[in-house]
Amino acid sequence: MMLKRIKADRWIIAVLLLLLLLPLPKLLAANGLIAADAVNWPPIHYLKRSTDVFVWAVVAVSYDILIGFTGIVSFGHSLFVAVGAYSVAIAVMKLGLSPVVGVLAAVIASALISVVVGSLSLRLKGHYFAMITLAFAEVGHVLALKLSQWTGGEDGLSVRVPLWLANRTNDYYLGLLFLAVIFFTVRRITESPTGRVLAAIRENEHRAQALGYDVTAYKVGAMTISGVIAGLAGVAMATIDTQFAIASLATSGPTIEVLLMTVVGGVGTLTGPVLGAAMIRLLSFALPGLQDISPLFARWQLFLGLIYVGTVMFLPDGIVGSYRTRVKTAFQRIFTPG
Amino acid sequence: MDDILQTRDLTVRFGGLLAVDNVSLHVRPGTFQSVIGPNGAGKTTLFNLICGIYKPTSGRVLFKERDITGLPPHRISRLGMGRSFQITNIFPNLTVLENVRLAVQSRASVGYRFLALASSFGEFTDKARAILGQVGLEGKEQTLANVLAHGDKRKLEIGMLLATESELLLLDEPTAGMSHDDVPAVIDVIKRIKATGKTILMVEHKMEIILAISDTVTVLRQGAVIAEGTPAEVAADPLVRSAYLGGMAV
Repeated sequence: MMLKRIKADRWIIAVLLLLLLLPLPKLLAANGLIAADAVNWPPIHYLKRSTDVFVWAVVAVSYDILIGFTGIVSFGHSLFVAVGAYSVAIAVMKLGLSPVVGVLAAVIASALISVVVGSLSLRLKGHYFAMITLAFAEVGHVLALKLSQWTGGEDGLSVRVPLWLANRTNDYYLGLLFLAVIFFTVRRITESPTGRVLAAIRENEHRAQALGYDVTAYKVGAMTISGVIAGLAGVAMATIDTQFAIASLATSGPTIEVLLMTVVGGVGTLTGPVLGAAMIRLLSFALPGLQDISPLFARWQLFLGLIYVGTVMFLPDGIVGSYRTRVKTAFQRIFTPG
Repeated sequence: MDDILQTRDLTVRFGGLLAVDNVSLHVRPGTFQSVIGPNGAGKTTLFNLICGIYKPTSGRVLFKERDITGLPPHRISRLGMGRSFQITNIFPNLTVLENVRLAVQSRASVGYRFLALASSFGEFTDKARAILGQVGLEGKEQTLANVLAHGDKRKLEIGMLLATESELLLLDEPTAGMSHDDVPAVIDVIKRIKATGKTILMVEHKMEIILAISDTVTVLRQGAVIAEGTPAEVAADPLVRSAYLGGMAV
């Protein structure tokens, strides 16, 4: 059974890799390594949508550190995405600095804000914590609207990127590389001694504390790692994805979308949130386009809601989580004596 | 010999309720002291004051001659005071081995190493396995903690406590909710720990356990100490008997 699962997993991975490498010829063409006019496939919108999925998958993976591996639910997570996006946008567009400085600024800003928000709010638990994070995110939203000489207010800030970043094929591969690096780093973190303590906190906070672990410090640490990764995703959004920083990123809307990705894919599985990000982002792009078929699709969020309710009812561990449990229980049924 | 743990006039008030009233305990190193008393006497609250979960209204707690009043629980734990809980308190969805391994890791200063692999700290795993042997859970390393039988969960808790290498162990009703058949195995484990020279402070209801293993017994009623002495002395005390019989004449 275990073998079968590994085999099935291998197939999934192989197909995915093939799919991800489809635009390879185009990458070569884009950088003048083969004749450019020979390759006009896959189309730009395929690359754009994929890059968007990669970037949101990073946000979902960073959210999984909180919800899946530490057991804390934040409603203000996308604040960090906004911080990252604005950091690079302001550095480049308002201060005329290099995007690299913007990336550094984004890391520093999102780390600082994570530590401040975390140490002020993580003493509270459950709903109270969630509400406080929502409040912090809303403060960020209002600031982004009001400091319009810096942020562009309602209009947001469009980022003029260097020429090589204006190329969608390059963006695609940068996004893919970004997701891969973050994914494996986060997986490594969850398998580290610190990651194990985070799991202990998720399982039983009081016990972890009684063992001598400084629970608040670990939670602030988890929130900082997660916040910095979300900040980097914001940078990616402003440079290779939408190339735009907008105040609405800090509202609860995007956070709830990320929560949806994580829950649908499978909390605490890391691959689940990536899958969830792909599903939710592609659906929220494709569903409004079906309005010609039925006016129902004008209310496309309804379908996301149905998916969410369906997941909670029928696959409480999410898609990947349920897949893993099913294989594991089948395995135990066969090999456990008695 | 100096006391390893002292409480001085320890008092806590929750609103109008005086839960612990001027309790002064003296626990000497290497001894086994029990705290008994009717339900609501303040035994668990006393534990929560000692290990830092509650802050006292007045009075002090001294551990190894150091004033620990008001320190957060994780700091007190790291000073060498381990605690088990009345209700089973484990990491339910982690394996038995991982539960104990986390307790071992808590004493090693690996700090916040988030890019090292936990599996590369083999010595933690080895030690955790040895402890599982001591408490009689060998062969169950890879079982998820929440599917263990109740008695095994209590053994796991004691194992986690041992892994912290604490000098002073606070056991809060280690046999609570346990079937009659499981009790002897846990008493056996506790006796073995006692034999290693650790100091133990235990809250318990079952008289036969208290009489069998305690050096000193402290009796609480309505938050206050009403008697203290050897098990035999306490069992003979008229005040204690009336407390347990609900104030009826004896």
